[in-house]
Amino acid sequence: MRILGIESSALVASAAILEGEKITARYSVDHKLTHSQTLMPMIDEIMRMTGLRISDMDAVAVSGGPGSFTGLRIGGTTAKALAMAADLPIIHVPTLEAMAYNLCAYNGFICPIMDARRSEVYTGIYAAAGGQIRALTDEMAVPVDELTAMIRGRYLSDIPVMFLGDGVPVFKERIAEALGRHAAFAPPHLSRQDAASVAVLGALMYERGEYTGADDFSPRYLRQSQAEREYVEVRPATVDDLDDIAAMERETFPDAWSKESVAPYIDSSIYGVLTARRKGSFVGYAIYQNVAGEGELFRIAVDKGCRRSGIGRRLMTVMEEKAPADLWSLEVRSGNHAAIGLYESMGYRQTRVRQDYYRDPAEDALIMEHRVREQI
Amino acid sequence: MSNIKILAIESSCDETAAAVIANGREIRSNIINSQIDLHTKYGGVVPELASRKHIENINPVVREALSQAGETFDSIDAVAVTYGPGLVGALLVGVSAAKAIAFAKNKPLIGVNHIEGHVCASLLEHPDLEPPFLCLIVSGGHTNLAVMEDYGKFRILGSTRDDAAGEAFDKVARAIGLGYPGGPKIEAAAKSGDPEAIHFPRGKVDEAPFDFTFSGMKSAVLNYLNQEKMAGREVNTADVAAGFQQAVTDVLTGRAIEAAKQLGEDRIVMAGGVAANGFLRESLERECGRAGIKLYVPSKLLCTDNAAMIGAAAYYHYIRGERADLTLNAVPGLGL
Repeated sequence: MRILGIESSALVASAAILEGEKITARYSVDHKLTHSQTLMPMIDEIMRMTGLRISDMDAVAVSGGPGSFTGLRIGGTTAKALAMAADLPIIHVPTLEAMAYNLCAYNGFICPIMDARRSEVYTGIYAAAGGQIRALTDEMAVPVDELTAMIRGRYLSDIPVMFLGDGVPVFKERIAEALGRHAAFAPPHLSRQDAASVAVLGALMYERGEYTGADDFSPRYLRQSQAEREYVEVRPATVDDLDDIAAMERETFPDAWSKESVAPYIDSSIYGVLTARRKGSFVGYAIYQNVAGEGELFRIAVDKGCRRSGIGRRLMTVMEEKAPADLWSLEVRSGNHAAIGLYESMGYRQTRVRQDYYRDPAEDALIMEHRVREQI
Repeated sequence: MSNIKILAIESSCDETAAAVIANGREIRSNIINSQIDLHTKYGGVVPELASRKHIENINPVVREALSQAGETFDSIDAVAVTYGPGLVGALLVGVSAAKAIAFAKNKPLIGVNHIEGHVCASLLEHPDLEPPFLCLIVSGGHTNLAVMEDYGKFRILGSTRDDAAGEAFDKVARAIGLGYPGGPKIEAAAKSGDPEAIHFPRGKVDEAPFDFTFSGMKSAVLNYLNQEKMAGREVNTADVAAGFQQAVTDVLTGRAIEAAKQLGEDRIVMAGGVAANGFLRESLERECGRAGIKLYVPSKLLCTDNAAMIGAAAYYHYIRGERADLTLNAVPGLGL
């Protein structure tokens, strides 16, 4: 059996040919060159050196993610088109599992970490024993501290957890600090993605029938695109939203409005209620009035887990579009710096202070105003 | 060299496309998979989503192009692909696929400039058309006046200093609440509007008579909308759309005719997505008729992004022996 392995999920570009029990050729480059320029010439080179053609292969194994979106697409498209033109199946080899497989001769836990930016790593935890590896967790994108906490909780033994991957140079100190002698780091020749591991693991998967047609492959990005992640749908509320709004009121405000007190603001000519949903789940709302060109924002709240991601701004932007007023005003706790920062960035300025206006705890209220248009 | 069949691939923006073109002029197949529905709710093309969709679509689109043409990977003579300009992630899918196919089947690989492709769309519908001729290239990313001196060889006369014409359409459409895609939405809205009701400025660039500027026109629309809102008057969207479309059309038509007269060119080829705008087509056709200039505009299908035009352009590179190698990369900012 002959398998072409392709790996371009991160900084390493790598191609390898597995023939039966032998890696006939392996070409890896971990240098800052674009994979779009290097990967295909590398495949060409190992094929020419071995006198093999793509049509001599039985399958193409490709490192399918997670990883750099661009890297995954270059490797993935290359694999798909090669397999299509040569009429071969594709083996989608999980990137992290293939990395862990570099260390299949280890006897203990293996933790590949890929720098996923935004202070997270793509990772998973694997157990190696007797030359085989087994996934103990799903693939995940998590902050490295969450990963080390998980390891401390569940995966400590006398043998250190072996870390590898391009996340190591970024997070080594934090991992060593959190895990001490329970962490070890793979040596350079085993520490990065390798198409040979992709090909060998691919062969095992191929024998189990775990392959697809060339057209069915898509990378597993693990993360949505930023646009999908951040897409927030803002709509006027209906009575069906009242439970959600009342629940968030209780979560957010000491003087929470009840379902009954929110209800009259829905479907009114002078009041408005907007809801924000992300992927279907309720993440925020705003309640306001607009009378004769003067608008007032009464309530605005965003789910705790979703703050600082632009939902409040979206709600206020839509509010100002839907209810065009010349002057908008609102009250805010003087200590709520996050909210004040948002309002200021949207053009609101403090005009007055109401001393000791709030209870639980007692706090001043700032009155802020945003003059959208000069009076005519 | 007779009966050269080129498999062409195009994925520079939000259309995954493949085509088989014979001898640079004959469309054997022309498959376009548009992603427009995917991007509409975001109000424009989301590059990452476009790239993800391309990799899902690429194989079936290529297979369909071959199958409709009655060809196979073995029977074609070359593989051509758009390598720029465009969205880098999107371009990379087409480029990676074309390289892999060319490698697997040991076929020549040809990299094509997307803009050159747009101009070559007219070659597919006019067997007699040969360079040199004047080109007016109007798309979401480009606004150029150029002379195509020979196949693949351009002399740029003028370019936009700010927004491309298509970009201005998109921005104005968003401002008047028509949404994405702006071009067709504005054209439709303008049908019931009065193009003379509101006058927007026709921007000129000093000492560069063939350059374009649309930012002043766009700002004028935004100012007008704001001013009407402040005065509490309801905006007539149709009139704004019609007035704006008239202004863009006047600028494009005027510059193209002026350039043709100065250079003594008697043929103009209009190309690019904005060339699908019916109002612009009619206006330029009328003015060309008055000036005794023959106008070539591709049918609407060939105005939008497609791979047939890439195959047409590629043919002339092919017969000159121009080949790309396996290091071919996507060049998002590729110029003509």
